[in-house]
Amino acid sequence: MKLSTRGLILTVITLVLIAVALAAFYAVRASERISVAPSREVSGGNPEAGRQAIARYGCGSCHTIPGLRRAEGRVGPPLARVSERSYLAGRLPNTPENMIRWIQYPQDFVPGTAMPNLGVTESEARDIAAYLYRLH
Amino acid sequence: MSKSRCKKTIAFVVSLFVALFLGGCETLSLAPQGPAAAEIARIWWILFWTALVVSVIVFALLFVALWRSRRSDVKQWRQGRDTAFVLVGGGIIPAVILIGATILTFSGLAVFAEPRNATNLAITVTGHMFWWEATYEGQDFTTANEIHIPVGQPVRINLESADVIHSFWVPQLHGKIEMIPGWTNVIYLEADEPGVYFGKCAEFCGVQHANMEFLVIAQEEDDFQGWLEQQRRSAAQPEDDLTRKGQQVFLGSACVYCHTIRGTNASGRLGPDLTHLASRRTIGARMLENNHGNLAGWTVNSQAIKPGNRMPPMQLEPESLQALLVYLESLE
Repeated sequence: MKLSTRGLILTVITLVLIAVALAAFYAVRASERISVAPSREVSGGNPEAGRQAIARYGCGSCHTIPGLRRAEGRVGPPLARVSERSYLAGRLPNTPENMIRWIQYPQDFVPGTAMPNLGVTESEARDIAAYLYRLH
Repeated sequence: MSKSRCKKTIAFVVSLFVALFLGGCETLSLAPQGPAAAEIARIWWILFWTALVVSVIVFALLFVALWRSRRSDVKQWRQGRDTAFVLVGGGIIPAVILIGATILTFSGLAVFAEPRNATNLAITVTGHMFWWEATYEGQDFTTANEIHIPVGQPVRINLESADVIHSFWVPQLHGKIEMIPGWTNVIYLEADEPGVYFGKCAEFCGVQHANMEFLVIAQEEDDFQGWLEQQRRSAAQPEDDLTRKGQQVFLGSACVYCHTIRGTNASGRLGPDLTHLASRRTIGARMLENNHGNLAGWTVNSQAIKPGNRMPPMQLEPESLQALLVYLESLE
């Protein structure tokens, strides 16, 4: 097939037009995105320290948690996108304060729940909550 | 072969050697901590250097031959000299090296076939799918997945299997030995220094073969005797209501069909002995650190952690679970 200058120019113009159309489409879509849940954030928590604390405490033995090795537990609910959920443990409104207290003292906060008290400190719980709220 | 392709081949081979050499820096078998492993490592290094020297010479000869073959006036085969070169270089020298390697290997095997000094401690280690049972002969106790030995003494290990062929391997202390159903293999394990040595199953035995690991902990004599005394004791009796409730949960659940806790009626033999569970550093055959969170997840559903292991998921009321965990953690 012989390459002609005219053909080449037409091809390039077509590709550029397609690229511009796609870019416009996605830009418009992004600006109209509806958020499905209130945005939840933990102030003062270090997500990476939280990830390490999760590994240390063995949370992955009961929960499936993205971003950790050997965290495919089936005992409790999976924690992916936990920031979008309305309730924790089916009882507590999902707020950063409740999340931190829940991680620290589940047995006291919701008596009769299966999740054990693991002796997590307040700052560790804050870090863990910061990590969990970032999971998607 | 053209000159540039020849150079590329040599460069590739050299970099392969370098990569393999550097990759071996982390190998536990080359960091021996006991006499048997030290002997194995010694033989390995002698063979390695021999092989390296031979390889370099052979590659040099190959390069020379390729280089010379470019010339049109290739020399004719000289009957006496060239035949002798092939016979000596390709026949006699390799034979001598191989005979030397054989003598080296067999004399090395003799080093750890019999212990240097008498040992009065024997442990029968039985391989299961996918955990390790350890019965201390003459001591009246059985433990699992964590074996303690005294430093500087050869300990006789009787190796058996309850189901399929496994292999007992503690790379820093010894070579691999098969555990064959219906047969007992014997090795002598000795550690030079106190420490925690990692062991694994080295014979494919099923779906969780890769996660069938264990610990050998070498201790000074006093610490070891203290450990023996602790393990010989029956399980601690509950001292408060919550722990007592946990014991009742254990004894009233399916746990007793598989597990033994000496001092109670639980005498199951299918799974690890739990009499001193809380004294062990890991659970699940070294899969998880032995802490509250991991113990909870393992007890309720170990299949999610180690699919195909022989322990089924347990359906427990949440309050029963909390009490059971407290009881299990009291079993020091």
